[in-house]
Amino acid sequence: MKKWITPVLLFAAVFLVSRVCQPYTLICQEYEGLFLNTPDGWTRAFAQPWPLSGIVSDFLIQFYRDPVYGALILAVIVTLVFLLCRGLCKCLGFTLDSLPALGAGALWFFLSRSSEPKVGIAVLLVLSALWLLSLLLKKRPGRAWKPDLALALVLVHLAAALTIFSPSVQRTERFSRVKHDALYGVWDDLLKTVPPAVAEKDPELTPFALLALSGKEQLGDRMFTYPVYEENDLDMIYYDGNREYYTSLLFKACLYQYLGCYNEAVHNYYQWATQLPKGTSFVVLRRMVELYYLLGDYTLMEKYCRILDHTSVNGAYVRHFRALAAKGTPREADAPDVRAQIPVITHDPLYNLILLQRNGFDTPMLRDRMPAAAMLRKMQQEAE
Amino acid sequence: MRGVWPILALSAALFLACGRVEFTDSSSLPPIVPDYAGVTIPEGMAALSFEMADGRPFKVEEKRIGDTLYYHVRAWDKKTGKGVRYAPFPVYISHDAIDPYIAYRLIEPSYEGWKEMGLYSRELATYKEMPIVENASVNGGCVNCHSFSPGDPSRMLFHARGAGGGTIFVNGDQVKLLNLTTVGPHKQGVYPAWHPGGRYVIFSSNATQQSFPIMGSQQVEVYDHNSDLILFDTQTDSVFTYEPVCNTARMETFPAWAPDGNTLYYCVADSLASVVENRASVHYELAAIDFRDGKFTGEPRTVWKADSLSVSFPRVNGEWLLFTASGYGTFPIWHKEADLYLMDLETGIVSPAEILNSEDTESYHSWSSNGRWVLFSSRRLDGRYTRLYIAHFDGEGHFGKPFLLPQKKFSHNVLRLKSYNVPEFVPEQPAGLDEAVSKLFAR
Repeated sequence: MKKWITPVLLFAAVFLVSRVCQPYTLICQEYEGLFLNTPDGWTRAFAQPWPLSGIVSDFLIQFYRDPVYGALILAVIVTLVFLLCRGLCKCLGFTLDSLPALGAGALWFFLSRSSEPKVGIAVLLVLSALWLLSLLLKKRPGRAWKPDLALALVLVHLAAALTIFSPSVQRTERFSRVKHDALYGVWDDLLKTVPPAVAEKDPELTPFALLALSGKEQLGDRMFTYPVYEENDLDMIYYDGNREYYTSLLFKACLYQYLGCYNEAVHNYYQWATQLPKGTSFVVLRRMVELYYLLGDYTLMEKYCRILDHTSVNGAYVRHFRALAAKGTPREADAPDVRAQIPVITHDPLYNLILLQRNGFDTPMLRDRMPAAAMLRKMQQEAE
Repeated sequence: MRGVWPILALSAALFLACGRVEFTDSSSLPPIVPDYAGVTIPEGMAALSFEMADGRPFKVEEKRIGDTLYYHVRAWDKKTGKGVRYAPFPVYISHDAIDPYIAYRLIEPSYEGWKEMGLYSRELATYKEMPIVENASVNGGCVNCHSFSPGDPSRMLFHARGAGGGTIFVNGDQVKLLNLTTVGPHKQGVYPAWHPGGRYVIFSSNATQQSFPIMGSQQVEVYDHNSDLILFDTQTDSVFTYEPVCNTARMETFPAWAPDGNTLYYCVADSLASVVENRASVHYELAAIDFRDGKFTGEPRTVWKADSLSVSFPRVNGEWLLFTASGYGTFPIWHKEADLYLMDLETGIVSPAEILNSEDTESYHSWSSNGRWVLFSSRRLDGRYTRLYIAHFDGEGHFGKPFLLPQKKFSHNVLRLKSYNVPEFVPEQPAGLDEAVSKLFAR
């Protein structure tokens, strides 16, 4: 019985910590992951370094959309690594839990900070191969070490504590939660995740909090409870470096989607996709389906549906949009003389809001943002 | 074990019962995508693959009678078990030779940014696609505007944008990087056309910008603020300009040589302020200028213009000139009305190449070495992702019905998330350049 204590505890710890402390991290790994059973998908899969572990990792990430499965997969990987390490130690004549627990715990901590389980899969595959080879070796009698089990349990607890209290894990989880909430318009949760005190420490999140406020039509009342100093805090038009570029594109994609300007939302989702590891992702493909449905371009919507048909867990989603499109009326293309008169988006967010309003976009969010953007412009001009 | 056999027998009986389909004959052609009925293909082309437009399962049998392939299609409904035996559709086989390879760029039809892109070649007799150079070799920068020296595919050039980039000239095993902005008039090269003699390359030098309409069916507009033509001498690595085609009053772009190399065709429009706001009034016309002994001579002349159309991508084949025309502007790929037009250079008569055109965009095109085939890009499949079509040309102004570049499975056209860009016929397989190019960028 004793030999199961460490692996069971390890499995339970990884599962519970991942499920409770990192659900949005897992969900966002699916959002930004991609596994396509298509010719180009396989070509890309085999072109990556460590292709086998990459392919398995990409395949498994599909299921992270439900964090229960994500946590389960992570727990299985870490526990299997522990068991294989223990098996290898046994072959070398050591009946040990502590050393495998140290290895598995370190891997868990690493995976909790990683954007995919690829390294875990690679370790698992290498250990599996070593373990199979070890079966050919002559078995040696095991030498036990008395405080081993206690030490192993301490190491598992230590790994759990490191993961739970790691500032980097917490920051990733918070940012993932903000991404999820912004993508799906869960404004109350977003405001709970980014209260003014958090925005003070992490200014990158301020525009998302203000987006949530405008989603609730409370921007005018509550904007200045947040650390708002300039226009960029509201609309994130400027960025510094790759990380801010990534965030700015995601923010603008969400913003223009909620403003009803789907052309500009598509533009920014495409741009955001180029910042993702595989050039597109599950959430981008799903967003394309939604946006092209809203734009009335059912032909293009169907293309993305067919691509998502080549994934494992998007069947219901695709069927839903196909049913909606079957009832809808596709939009006709505009004539050249009509197209030529349509204004284009600019790098001035306030002017863009005015353009949208003049052209018939009338959403509550637009009405809420307009005075706030004008006020910030005036403040900025006066400060200059 | 004895209990297993009845279950297996029952399963087999059920399978056979379900597999029995009652077919009725139909006099109509099968509703397939892409529409291959009546197309003309070259001898030895990779097999055409298609699917039923409504997704039904189907079987196809090919029978060749003379120079016509007949496709007999039977399709059935899985639920009802009822099937239709359609009238066979013909595919005509031409004995006119075609270059065995094509080259193109694959890129996401995105906006300002990109992740992966590359130049590729494809063997027409098979489905084999090989990289010429991928942007991983140029530190993730943009690779574009490839051009082969006519009749000599071992000589080519393409641009590699980004830090440390420039124009890469390939001559057999020699690969060199030259930043055109550092020589002559300090203008960067954009759209190239290699002179038939092989020594000179004419480039347009464009200040290009993109804008994004806030609504409507067009999501991107691309336009030039200004553009000129510059001449590059590959023997001396020097750049020359000629004032009539390099001035601020007009925007010259899309150069193309006549096969004898004595005439340069290009597109030109008056320069104007606030191009994007006034884009409806930007109409490029087709112009030409003479070229003798490495120098432009005389004044440019207008070859063709229309008040309601804007010309791009002229490509000459003997006495025929094929170009793209759209409602306005200089970048037709985002214009659904963009169509191909054929001009008889002897008579000056221009007419739309109707059999090549569709409701959606037709754009970049190139002639085969013998002028009997034309390769062009079209967005007719889904309105966004450009795919390649090939059509036969009889040399007397008539095209055959174009066919979609076949893939092993038609669905590849749907599942591929990249557009085909700047397709060109190539007489030999271009060499892979990744290793040589990455060395240039590793310095």
